[in-house]
Order: sequence, then structure tokens, then C-alpha cells
Amino acid sequence: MTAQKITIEPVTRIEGHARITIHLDDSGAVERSFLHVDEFRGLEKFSEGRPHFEMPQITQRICGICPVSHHLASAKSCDAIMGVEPPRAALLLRELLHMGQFVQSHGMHFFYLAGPDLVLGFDADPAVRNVFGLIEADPQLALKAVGLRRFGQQIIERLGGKRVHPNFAVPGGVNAPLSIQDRDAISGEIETQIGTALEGVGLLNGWVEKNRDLALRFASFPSNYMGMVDAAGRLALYDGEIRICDPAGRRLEQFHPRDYLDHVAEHVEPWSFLKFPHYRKQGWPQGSYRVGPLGRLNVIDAIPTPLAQEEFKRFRQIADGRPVEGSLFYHYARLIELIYALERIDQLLAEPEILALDTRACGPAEPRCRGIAAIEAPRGTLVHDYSVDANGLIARANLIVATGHNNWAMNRAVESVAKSFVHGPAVAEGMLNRVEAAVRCYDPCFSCSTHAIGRMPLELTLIGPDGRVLGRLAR
Amino acid sequence: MTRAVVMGLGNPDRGDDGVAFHVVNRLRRRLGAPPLDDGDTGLGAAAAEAAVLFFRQLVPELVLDVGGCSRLVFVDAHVPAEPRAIVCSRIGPQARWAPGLTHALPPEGFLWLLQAFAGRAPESFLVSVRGERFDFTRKLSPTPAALVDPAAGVVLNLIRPNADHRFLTDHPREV
Repeated sequence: MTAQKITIEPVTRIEGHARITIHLDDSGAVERSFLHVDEFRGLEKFSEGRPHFEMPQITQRICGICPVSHHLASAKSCDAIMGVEPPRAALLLRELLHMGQFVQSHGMHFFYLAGPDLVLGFDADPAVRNVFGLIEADPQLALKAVGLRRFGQQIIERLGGKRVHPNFAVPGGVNAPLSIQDRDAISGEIETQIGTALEGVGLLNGWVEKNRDLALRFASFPSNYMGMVDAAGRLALYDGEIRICDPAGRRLEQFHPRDYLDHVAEHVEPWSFLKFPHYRKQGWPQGSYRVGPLGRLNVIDAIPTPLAQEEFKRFRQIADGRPVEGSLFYHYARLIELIYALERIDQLLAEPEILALDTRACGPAEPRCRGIAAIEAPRGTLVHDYSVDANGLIARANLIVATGHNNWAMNRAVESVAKSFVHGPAVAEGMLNRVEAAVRCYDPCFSCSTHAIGRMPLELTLIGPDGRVLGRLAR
Repeated sequence: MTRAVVMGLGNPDRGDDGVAFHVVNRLRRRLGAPPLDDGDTGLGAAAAEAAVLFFRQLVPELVLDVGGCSRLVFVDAHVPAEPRAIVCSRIGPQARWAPGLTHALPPEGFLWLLQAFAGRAPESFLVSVRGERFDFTRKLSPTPAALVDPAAGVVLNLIRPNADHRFLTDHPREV
């Protein structure tokens, strides 16, 4: 057998641009694989010199899918720089905005991006294995899914004036209160949307029932996990402490986000612009962890809303109380969080204070030269860390984005699938689909994580031990 | 839903790609509606004769906002390779222009979605204006700027009940 390498490009139904190379040994078996992220954008660098209070608007332009996460993480960092605590109404409204973002993002990922693999099958023609194929297969469900995403977008629009890139959070609070009319309009739709989310859970669980072995084995591997928890150790998406657990679910660390550099380090590989964050005390690569829906549900003790908690109990039974390792279960965890987000919207709207007019901090402030904040974005933990000069201008910015945290795990998932499905230089379409599906579990956003310009292609290159390129697949 | 909907499409930060924003606002003025501000879509506002809206791009969710209209007119820019100043075409649903993800959804794909969800797509037209420069500027080039008023006139004619179809160029569109 001669030297062999497989390249997959583009990886479809993800955000951003990725390329995969698979290296084969002399016998044609997979030796190693790499998920390369070739985009570079440099947003941290060109933020330097901007007034810090502009950052909630600037940083959300990184992404059109999860701008709210950047918007809010940035506003929280600015709160810290200004030394102010937003009033309770503002905190409730920021969280409401955040939940709208979770609904639209998680709804989109499951029904538009992942759903087609499950409904139509991994081996379906890529030309129809997409949201439009889903529409033809089940137009009623597809229509509900579109409505679900629109519901999330409308929450963002009602609060921030626009469905994408809202203008709402400001240092010290938010720039407008919630009207009774908007509260009632949102409230009126929650029950319907929870129904759609539960239908998604039914669809997924039905698929898992029929494909249990695949679901448990597909891109399944042990890792550490990271996610935010509230004071009671329950799921927290807007604010809380960050918890890291080991592969057995034992707590390794729990810390305030401002101390993230004590616990998180970043490793650089020459073959990708995307860094590899890891648990500092264990080093690279032993300290690698997973974030996002699966990471979060593997570190929390409970979920503070009833329907999501019921589903979480079933989730915990998959591995008899231990962390769930299969990457496909990201989809299940995502749907449980979708239910939580919808229930949480209901809880937030029931708070009388959410209608209060006092939405910005006033009074004495204690400005600081640094502000660090974290939030759970739909794809995982998001850290914004700004240092400012005496005039409040950004001197240094560091953003650690969910897809970066999952970089090691995505590489591991690709390798796991490649080892199962690649034998020799001939690359079957079904293998390509499965490698893509493994990446897609993590719902990566390469545009965010590299702060990058680019489209979202995937290229697979097959390479042998002598480095010779034997084949290339591009989509 | 109002009888007719106009959906302007484009990015006003990319020069002539945003010509539809100006056409939409010219049309709104003629219909007595306030012009849209930067970032406004016009969704949710009361409209008598027609809803005149603007979006940076089409996405599937908008199907729920415009479903039920009797006539739909898209306004867009076209590249200089198309020599005609204003192209006005009748268009219909086409699945092949409904790609796998929503990063780019052409009007024909959007109409396919409308048809899939509602059982029918409205009578639809695409009015496009020839752009010259698509780089980072908010200013229109002189030629497309001069075409804003005529294009608004073409759209206005299309949304009126007794549309004069002499404006239709009826040449198939290249995407």
C-alpha cells in the first residue's frame, strides 16, 4: 500500500469553513486525522483602540447566528469595566433576549441542520438531505420548525429592534423596557412552541430507538466536560460559575469566570487557525474538554424547569448516571436545552419586575481597567476579556469561543468516525456524510471561533505515510 | 395579509447592492408610508395598498410573514454582466434554487418554500436594477441612483390591481 491521504472539503451545514485530512498507514488504515480551520479574521486585534462601550455592537458582528451571545458577553464585560451592577429588570430582559437566541439557534440546528440526517438518513443523496428534503418529507413538522425559529427571532426583534444584530444591551443594563403588549405576545406562543420542541424530542428518541447501537458508538469517546452552573449546581445559561468535570463526572474545578485564565490554557497547532483551549492543570491534550449542550448536561446536577428536568432525568439514564459520551447525543442535549429555554421564557415573563422601567444602572461606579465575563452561548462557554486604557479604549481583547473549546473534541470525533468507516484510499460518499455528521454534532461556528471571513466548504484529503496526496474529495 | 407585498433585497453597505433599499423607500413615499430607517424591515407596520419591506437576505422564516399575499414583487440589484438597466421578470417556485442551507436563498427558492407550506405561491415578479459597484460604501453609483425612481414606477405598476405587463422583460434570469 502506498502513502494515502483523504481530504473532505467543504464540510456542509456548519457555520464557517473547514477542511479535513485523513492520513492512512501502510495497510490503508486511518492513522490520524485533522480538522483544519483555515479562516482568519483577527477581530480581537482590530478591536484595539475602540471605546469599550462599542464592543457589544462590534463583537456581535462576528456571527449572524449567535450575535446575541457576543452582544451579552460583551455587555457583561463592560459592566465589569464600569464597575456597575445592572438593575434586576435589565438582568431579566438580558436573559429573555438570551433565551430567544437559544430558541432560534437550537431550533435551527436541530430542524434545519441535523434533522435531515435523522429523518432522511445519513446515506440519502446530499442534494435532498437538507432542510428542503425535510420539508418534502414532513411539511407540517417543517412548518412548525420554521415557526419555532421565528418565535425566537421575534423575541430578539421585540427587545432589540432587529432579528439579527440587535441593539439592546448596554453597559449597565439594557436600553429599553419591555412593554406589556410585547410580553403578552411572547407569552401567547410559548405553549405551541414547547409542543414543537417536544415533537423534536419524540423524533430524535424514535431515531435513537431504531439506531441505538449507532447512537451509542458514533464518535463516542471519554473527555472532560465544561459548563456553567447556578449556585445550586443547576443549568445556568446567562450567569453563574464555570464547572469542569472529568470523564467519570467527578468535579475537577468550579470557578468564577473572571478567573478563567487560572484554569484554561490555549494550545496552538500549526495546521489550524483555531486554538485548542484545555484545562490548565492537566495540560495539553490530557486536559481537553467538551462544551455546549452535551458538556453542560454532563456537568450539571439538575435543570430548574419541570419539563426539561424530566427529560434530563431520561438523558442521565443513557449512561447510568455517568457522562454521556456519544457525540450524537449532542442533539438530544440540545433539544432538552431548547425546552428549558422555552420554559425559562415563561418564568421570566411571569416576573412582575420584568416590566419595570428602571433598566440601566445609575449611581456611583468604580471603573476598572479590565472586564472579564462569560456566558453560555448555544454552542458552549463564551468568554470576553477586555483590558482598557485610562480613556476606556480597548488595549487588549481576548475572546474564547465555544467552537474553540470543542476543537479537540471535533478532531477526536472525526478521527473516531474515520477509523470506523475509512479503509484504504477509496472514499465512499457514506463516509463523507458520516464525517460531516460527526462535526455537525458540535454545531461548530468557525466564523465565530476564528473570527473569520469565509464560506462553509469542506474538503477531504487522503494522505499516506510518505506525505503524498492520493485523493481529494470536495463538495 | 395585504394583497401585495414588495420585498427589497440587498446590502446597503455594499454600494449598489443596496439599490433596492432606495427603491423601497421611494415606493413607500409614493404610497404615503414613512421611509424605512437603516436596519428597519417594515414588518409589523400597517399597510393599506401594499406592504413594502426590505431585507438584507431572504430566510425561510419570512415565509410566515408574507404568506397569504396575492402578489409578491422582489426588488434586487443585478451585476453589470446583465446589460439591461431594469429587468422585470415573472418568476415562480423552483426547488433547484432552494439550496441546502439558508446562507443564500434566491426568490425562486423562497417561492418554493411558500408553495410547500401554503400549497400555492402568489403571482410573483422580480424587478432588478443594474449595479456598477459592489464594494464597501453606502453610496449608490450615479447610474443606479438615476434608476431608483423608474424602478419604483415599475414596481408600483406591478402592485396595482390592473397591472400593466408591458414592463415585463420576460427574459429568463440567470442566477
